[in-house]
Order: sequence, then structure tokens, then C-alpha cells
Amino acid sequence: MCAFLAACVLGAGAGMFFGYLFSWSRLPCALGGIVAALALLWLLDIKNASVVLDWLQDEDAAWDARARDDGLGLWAELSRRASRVLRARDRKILREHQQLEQILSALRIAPVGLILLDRHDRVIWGNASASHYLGLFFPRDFEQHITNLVRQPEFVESFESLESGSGTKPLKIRWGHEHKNSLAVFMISYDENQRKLLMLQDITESERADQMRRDFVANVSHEIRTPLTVLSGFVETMQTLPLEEDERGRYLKLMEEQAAHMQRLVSDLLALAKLEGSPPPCMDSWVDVFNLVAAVERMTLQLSGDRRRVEFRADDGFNAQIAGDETELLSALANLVANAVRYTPPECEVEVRWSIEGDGGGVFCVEDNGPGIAKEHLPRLSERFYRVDRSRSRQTGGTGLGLSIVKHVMQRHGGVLSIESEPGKGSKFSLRFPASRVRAALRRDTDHYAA
Amino acid sequence: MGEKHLSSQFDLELNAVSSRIMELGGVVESQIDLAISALASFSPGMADEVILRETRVNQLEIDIDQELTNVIARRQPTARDLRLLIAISKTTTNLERVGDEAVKIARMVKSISSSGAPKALPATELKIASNLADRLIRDALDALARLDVEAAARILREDDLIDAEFGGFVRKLITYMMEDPRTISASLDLLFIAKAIERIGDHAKNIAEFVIYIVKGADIRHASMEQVNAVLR
Repeated sequence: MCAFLAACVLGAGAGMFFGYLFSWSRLPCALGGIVAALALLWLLDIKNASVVLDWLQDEDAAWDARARDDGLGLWAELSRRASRVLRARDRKILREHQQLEQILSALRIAPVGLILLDRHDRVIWGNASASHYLGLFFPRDFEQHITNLVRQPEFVESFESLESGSGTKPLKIRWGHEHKNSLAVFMISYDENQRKLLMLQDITESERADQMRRDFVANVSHEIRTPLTVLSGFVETMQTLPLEEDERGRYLKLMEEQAAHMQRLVSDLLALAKLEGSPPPCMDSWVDVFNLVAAVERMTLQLSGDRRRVEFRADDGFNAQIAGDETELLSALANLVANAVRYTPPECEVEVRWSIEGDGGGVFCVEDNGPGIAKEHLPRLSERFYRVDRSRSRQTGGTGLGLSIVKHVMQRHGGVLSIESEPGKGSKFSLRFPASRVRAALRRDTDHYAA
Repeated sequence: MGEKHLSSQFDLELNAVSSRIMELGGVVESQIDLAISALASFSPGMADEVILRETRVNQLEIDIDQELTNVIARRQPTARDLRLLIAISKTTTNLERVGDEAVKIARMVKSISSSGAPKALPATELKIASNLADRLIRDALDALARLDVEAAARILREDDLIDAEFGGFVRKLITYMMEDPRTISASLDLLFIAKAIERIGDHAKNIAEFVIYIVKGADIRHASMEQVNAVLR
């Protein structure tokens, strides 16, 4: 506006000056001067406008937006404001883009499979777990109809039922190598455009755990029912038949054996439950290996009398200590020795050896030269109620829980139970404790045990 | 599957018919899966399920042919669309046959398990071949859905594996039959199962050939591997 007024005044002045010079009439000269000045101003303006227009059309310069203010007047102000607005918008877009990228990268590595579908069930987006579960390749399979690639009839049908609005319950499909794994599929329609979210969860593990739990209950019931049947059979016999005194005595003896077996079973079950439920043993209570071995030897004598020879040996004497719970460690070692005595014929030898390994860890080995165990049984041996020979082992008085208890004790002490065996040659069960749980004890009189 | 056309209605029709064939493929795949499980465990229940799904396969085959006829009559497709529709038609026939082979396996499983002498025979040897056939059909259908020529070419190369397995299995069965003539009737059933598995592999190969036909427009049936490679290049 100022420029406009100034141009008018200057134009009028210049016109009058020229009129005076050439002694023309003043008014037309003044008017002519104003028009000429305005025309000049207009030309200048067009030039400035074209500079600003160029700047706006040049995309790179426009987006990094520095104001053009070298003497452009109103246009400079305009371009400054425009660039400020553009810069603010750029920043906002960048911020939102970064947020979106953060959310997407979190979803991408989520352990559940996620797939977004459009209204025609085409894949819009999916994460790594989903592509792993369903064997899809992202982003190549974007735009594909999901039912063209995941063709299980149950899956396809559930799409139809979702579209007909009859609700969806989680669906279970098989996946992976030879279809050994199970996948729970949740299908949610999330907006009015019928876009869908597929959520996939691997439920193989939980199904397996369910199966194990069912097996366990069935096994426990079976193990308890067997002695119970024997007991109630004898009770019935004694109630209905008149018996001789010595026959009666024999039956009572058998009943006592069965009751004792049930008692062992229940106490083993309780021991296992306790091992699973209680916190791991602390690191600062130390158990003498010497005492441990002595206790096991006493128990072995009780179990088999002097009919069986069990050798106790140590490479460097028993002068060491293990951090852990004495009763647990005792039951682990005693279980192994009792197994060795129980499942080998009387003429076989059993040897218990304690040694310190190179890395400072300690190992108990219980080795026998009995019949050994076939290779296919080894990995399952420490499962609850797993039996190599169903008919024989119950006669010998085992509960089927011994090695489970040993395995649990070792896990709680940071150690490992390892089993080696060769049919016909014998078996070797080792309890390996980590170096952090083993320390040397004061020298004591271990001549009796030293190798 | 399919590209954009000016008529979006045509696009929808093409998509509908290709979704249909994938649905058929899904049912047939589940038949193979069940037949393989039935074979592994000699379970008549699963075998019955395979036979039960046959009606669904037949119905889908009729539906797809009907839809194809409609699309061709109304749209008069050319070039790639025409190839797509023809390939779908032939794939339908192939898939239906695969379903028949699965039913054949299921029937044999039932017959063997009712006559009751499966234990002595090398039925587990069929597991490798049957899993291979299952995978080939799955890969062939995936290749068709993605119109993936590379995957289709891989299937053409792998079909020989099943043929080799089949040959080995027949030789093994012959030794069983020579050792004990009582196993002959069950062995013959197993032989038919092996043959059915081998046929499934062949059908997978056919479907892979149609994928190349759709994309490249070249008919590579009965062509040597060198010719196929030349087409792909």
C-alpha cells in the first residue's frame, strides 16, 4: 500500500516536473506520470511474482524452504509464510511417519502372527511370524487373496461364516513340517469396510502340555489302582473264605507289600510336587560329599543287605562340598544307586564314583555292568512313569518316578543328569554339578573310601 | 492372480473363479493329508473322512466348469485371460483326479486294515514318497496362486524324485512277495497305493506346466527340460 501511494506521489511529481519543463498543462501530465509509475510498479511486481513462482515450482528448494527475502516486498513476506507452513507440515509428516514406523517395527517382530486383510480378503500387511506360520512371503504376497494361499477347508469355511455374520470362534489349523504343529487363528472384522485382522498363535506347546497332563493323571490313576486291586482282592478273599493260619499270614504279607508300594508312590509324587513348587536351593548351604556317600552306603546296606556289592570310589578322596539341599541330593544319589541295585541281576557289580573335573565341576557316576538299556529308551527314561519293561519293573518295587526326581533335583542345582548305556555291557548314570556349586572341603580321614 | 482390466466386473469374475479353484485345491490337499495319516496309522476312520470329502470335490468341479463356461461365453476373453481360464479348466480336472487318487489310497487302507496283515509289510516306506507328493501338490497350487514361474519350474525338476521312490518301493515289494506268498494280496494293495502316490506327483507336474503356460504362453507339455529352460529364459 505504501509502495502504491509512494508511486502515485512520485509519478504525479515527475509528471508535473516534465509539464513545467515543456510548459504543458499540469493535470494531464500529473495523471500520465501516475499511470507510468504504476505501470513500472506493476512490471516490477510481475517480475517478483515470477521469481517466487519459480521458487515454488522448483520442488527441492520448496521443500527445504528458505525464505526469498532479497527485496521482494510483499512477495517476500508471502514466500516466508508459505515456507514456514510447509516446514511445519513436513515436520509433522516426518513425526507421524516415524511413529508409524515404530509401531510397525514392534508389530513386525511380535511373536504372534498378524495379518491385515482388505474387504476382498487380500493381504495388506503381515508380520514375520505370520509368514513363518503360513508359509507366505512378504511383501511378495501382499495383494494376494489369503484363501488362495492358505487353503485348509476349515480356514476357508470360517471366512464364509465371518462374512455371513455368524460370529467366529478361534479356529485351529495345522501347520509346519508334516503338519505337526497347531495354530490358533482369531479372525476379527475391525471396521465398516469389512477389513479384517487375523491373529495367529502357535499353540503346539500348550497342546503338548495338555496332553502330558492328561497322560500324567491317567498314569497316576493306573499306578495307584494296580496295588489297590490286589489289596481289595485279598480283603475280599479273607472276608469270604475261612483260611488257615499260615495262608492268612502269607496274604497279609502280600497286602503289606502292596500298601508299602502305594505309600512309596504317594511319597514320591509328593516329593516331585515339592521339588516343582519350592524355590531353588540356596548357594550358601554346603553339603559334605563324604557325609552324602556315607548315608547312601547305609541306605544301600539296608536295601540289599550284604548280598550286593556296591563299591564307592573317589579319584581324589571325598573331601569336597556341594552347595545345595542335603535331602534332595541324598535322594537323587540314593535313587540312582537303588535303581542300579534293583534292575541288575545279583551277580552284577555297581560302582559309585566321585570325581572333580578339569573345569572344577563335580561328577557322581553310578555305573553297573548289568543288562543295559536299549538306545530308543534313553531319551524318555526320565519321564514320569516311563518304563522300559512294564511287566518286570513293578515287581522290583519301583514307582516309575525315581529318575524324574533325580532330573528335577539336578535341574534345581544347576546340574545335569546324563545317561549312557549299551545293551549287554551296562549303564552309567552321571550327576554333573557345575564348578560354582562345588568346593574343596578340609582334609579329613577318607582312607576308607579313597581309591 | 490376474491383472487389472478396464471392466472391474471382469476382474471380479476372474478372481471368483480362481478363488474357487484354490478352494478345490484346499479340499484336495486335505484329502491327501488325511489319506497319508490314514496310511501311517491304518485308521479306517480317517480313510472314511477322505471318501466323505469326495462329494465336495465333485460339486466344486461342476461349479467351476459352470462358472468358466459363463465367463468365456459372456466376456470372450483373449490372450492371457483366455490362457488363465483354459489352465484353470485343466487344473480342475487334474485336481479332481488327485482327489480320486486320495480316495483310492483311502479305500486300499481300509481293505488292508480289514484283512489285517499290515504289520509285516513295508508300509512306512511309503511315507517319504507320500509326503513328497503332498508337498508337490501344495507347491504347485502355491505357484498357481502366485503365478510363480520359478516355483513351477522347480516342481518339474522334482517330480523325478517320486518316480525314483516308486521304483525302489516296487523292488522291495517284490522281495516281500517272493519270501512269503501270503503277503501277495496285501502287497498288491500297497502297490496300488504307491501307484496312486506316483500319479499325484504327475498331476502336480501338470499343474506346474499350466502355470508356465499362463505366464509365458508356451505349451511345455511333453517338452524336454532343456526346452523348458529355454522358455523360461
